[in-house]
Parts: sequence; C-alpha cells; structure tokens
Amino acid sequence: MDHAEAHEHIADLALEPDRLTGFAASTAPPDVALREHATRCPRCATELAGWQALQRGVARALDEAAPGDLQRIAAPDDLRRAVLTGARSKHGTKRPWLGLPPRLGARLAAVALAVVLLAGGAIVIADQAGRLNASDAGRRALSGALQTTTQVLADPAHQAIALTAADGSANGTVAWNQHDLVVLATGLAVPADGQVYRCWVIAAGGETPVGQMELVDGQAFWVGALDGWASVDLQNAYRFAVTLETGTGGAVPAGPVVLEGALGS
Amino acid sequence: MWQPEADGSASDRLVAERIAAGDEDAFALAYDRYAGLLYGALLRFTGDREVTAEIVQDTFLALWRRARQFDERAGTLAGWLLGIARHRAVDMHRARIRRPPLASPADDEGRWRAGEPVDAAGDPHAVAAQHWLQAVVRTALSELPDDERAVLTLAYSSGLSQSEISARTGLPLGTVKSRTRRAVAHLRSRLTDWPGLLDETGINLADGTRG
Repeated sequence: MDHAEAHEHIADLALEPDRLTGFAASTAPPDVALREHATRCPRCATELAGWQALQRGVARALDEAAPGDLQRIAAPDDLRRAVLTGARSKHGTKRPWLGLPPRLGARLAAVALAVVLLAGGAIVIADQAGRLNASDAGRRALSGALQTTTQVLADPAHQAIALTAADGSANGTVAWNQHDLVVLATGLAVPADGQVYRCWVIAAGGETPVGQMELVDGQAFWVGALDGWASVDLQNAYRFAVTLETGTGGAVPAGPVVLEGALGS
Repeated sequence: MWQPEADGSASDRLVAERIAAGDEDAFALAYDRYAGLLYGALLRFTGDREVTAEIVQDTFLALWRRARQFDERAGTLAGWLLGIARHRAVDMHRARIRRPPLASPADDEGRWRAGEPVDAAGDPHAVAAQHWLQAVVRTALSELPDDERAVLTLAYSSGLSQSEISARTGLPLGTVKSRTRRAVAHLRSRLTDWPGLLDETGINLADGTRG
C-alpha cells in the first residue's frame, strides 16, 4: 500500500467508527496493509491515531446521550448585557459596587488592598491611591490589576508575600489565589529608555521569567494567570524577584534585583 | 472605531490585541463568537444555569483583563477561554463533591451535573475531566449542521455503517459519505483547536497519543 492508498483508506475508516475501533485486530487485507504502511510512515500513523482519538472522544460524548443533549444551547441575552456592561464599567467587573467612576473605583480598590495588607501586618502600600493620573490605557490596566487584587484577597485561600528592596527604596506585594497572581510595587524609579522591570520565579532548577511589569504614575504592577494558560508556575518555587533588565531581558536575570521576597514565608 | 474585516472575520490575535487596548467592540465580537460555546459546554457540565452564567462572566472578565497575555502560538482564543472556564467549573465540582448536595442530583435539563455524587472508587479528578470532555464534545456536536450531526449520530450511537445509514435514511450512499466526511472533519478541526481537552483526558487529538 502506497501513501496515497493509505491516506484514502484512513479517510474511509474515519467514516465508520466501528471499523476504527476494530482496526488494530482486523484481518481484512486493506487494514493489514495499512498497519504495515503505518509502521514506516509516521505521517499516516499520526493521521490514523488522530481519527482513533476522535472516535474515542465522540463515542464517550454520545454514551448515554439523550436527544436533547445534542441540541444547540444559546447563551441568554441578559448574560450578554451583563458581560458587556461589566467591561464598559472600565473595571471589567460584574460587582455592583464597582459601578463607580473609573478612577474612584481604582482608588477604592487600592485602598482596600492597602487596608487588607496593613491589617495583616506584613506589607505597606501607602500611596497607591493617589497615583492614578495616567493615560487611559495605563489607568485601565492598573485598574484591572487592582480589581484582580481585590478579588484575590477576597478569596479565603489566597496567599500574599512582601517584596522588599535591599536598600528599602521600594516595596511591593505578590498576592495570588488558584486563578490569578498580582504583583504590585511602589517606589520603583521610572526605568531608562530600553530598560524594563522583569518578574522572576526562582526554584531549585533556576530562574524563570514570568512577566514584565508596567509602571503607571509611580505604581508598578503585573498580573499573571495560574489557570487556563498559566503564565506562572509556583510549584517548587521559593523566591520571587523583580530585576531591572536591558531590552526585554533574557532567559536568566542579568540586571540588578530591585525587589525580592520568599514564597511560602 | 475598530472594525473587523468585511466578512466579519478577525484573527484571534487581532481581537485579543484590540481587547487589550480597551476596545469594547472587539470584546463584544469575542463574546458573540465564543459565548455560545462556553455556555453550552458549561451548562452541560454543571447542569445549573446560574452557575453557568457566573462562570461565563468570570471567563470573559478574565479575557478583558488579561487579553494581552493571549499568545496565538499556544492555541486558539476559544481554547484559552475553554481552559479558563474548565478550571473554574472543575473547582466548583471539587467543592461540591466535598460537600454532598442537598438537593436531588437530577437536574432540570436531565443531564449529569457537577454536584452529582461520584463513585467513591473513582478518581474525582478523572471523573470531572471525563465529564468535561463529554460536555465539550457534545457542544461541538450541537454546533454541527443538522444533516451532518444526524449521520454522525447514526454512525456513532447506532453503530451503523455508511451503507446502513443510507438504507435507513433513504439518502444516496455518496451523500451519506460526504456528509459524514464533512462532519468528522469539522469536529476534528474544532476539537484540535481546544487544547483544554488534552491534558486532563489524556487524549491528544492532534496526534492521537495518550498522555
């Protein structure tokens, strides 16, 4: 069996799930020939395996399915309104209390953060609320970061650590729950052109760059994901650091550490 | 105001970039593209409209806040959103199985729901992953054109061959084959684009391997 014949036979098998299921044990000459071809043709082997995986997935999905289970389900109109209204609030939130003017909402979020952290006695973020005079895009990003922070801190399972500078010139926090991780810092100087603040997670295996901080009117921040497309892996990490890097930075930190803290402390 | 192409298309990357820049039209476009998929999969998984709406909102708000993190090299926007939704749904599922449901497990849609007690001998994580896969694949099937879904269901649920489907439906064999071929191609294309299915089910549709 040549490649074209194999491809054609795979296409036929894909139409009949029972034949795909029984393919491995089939003694039908075309199936035997295809198995032999697949042992020396990775492309056909991959193609065949892909159809077999699809067959298993669909078979499971249809297992005990009632007719109604395959009916199209439309999201309700009021959900669309709720989601889009939440975005229009500029906070990206569905919470009623955040239907406030953007800057006020951001300030409240910042103050809430400072109060919560101060109450914990660990971290001082004194003047986040007064530093929001920035561009709309930057302010929106900062507002989103602070809003995420508020949600993270409202989660009873959240964790937070302090970030400090060796010379005491800056301080910050890293707060996270199972979904989001937020880094906030104050006191960092505006980097020179071509320089950026980079966040790193440090584990026994070395440093991993996880994100580049933004700086809006004195407030530095970065938000990472711990679910979905996780951008941060805290497994086995023991320190979190922020460095000042030239350019976009490399795979390992080359610039000075400006903030750091122990994870799990 | 930003507009997608005349045919309504816009790449995931462009949509995500516009959302990251605060473009509400791009956000609405993303919602209109993917809300049905998320809502359908989540409702099938949770069996609860209120919980489903909550997770859909959370998922789109995550997109609004984190759109700049989207990287099309890692997958599609639909896959990213499904991944976020799945995490939230499975979290709720775990919370529920730690706390036995007060109400009857039967739901108003007659479907399995996340709060249903799980066989103690089973791995709850694996059970949740299997039900999530089932919910997403059923949603993908529901989005197929009716004629394609009909032949596929006869092939998979009733175990009929193409000839038998032809005899059962009265359709010419060639028509049955072409419809089935389109249906499986659509389905494979969609499911391969949703990498959230892969890690927890151990099935990689891209190459068929088991992880």
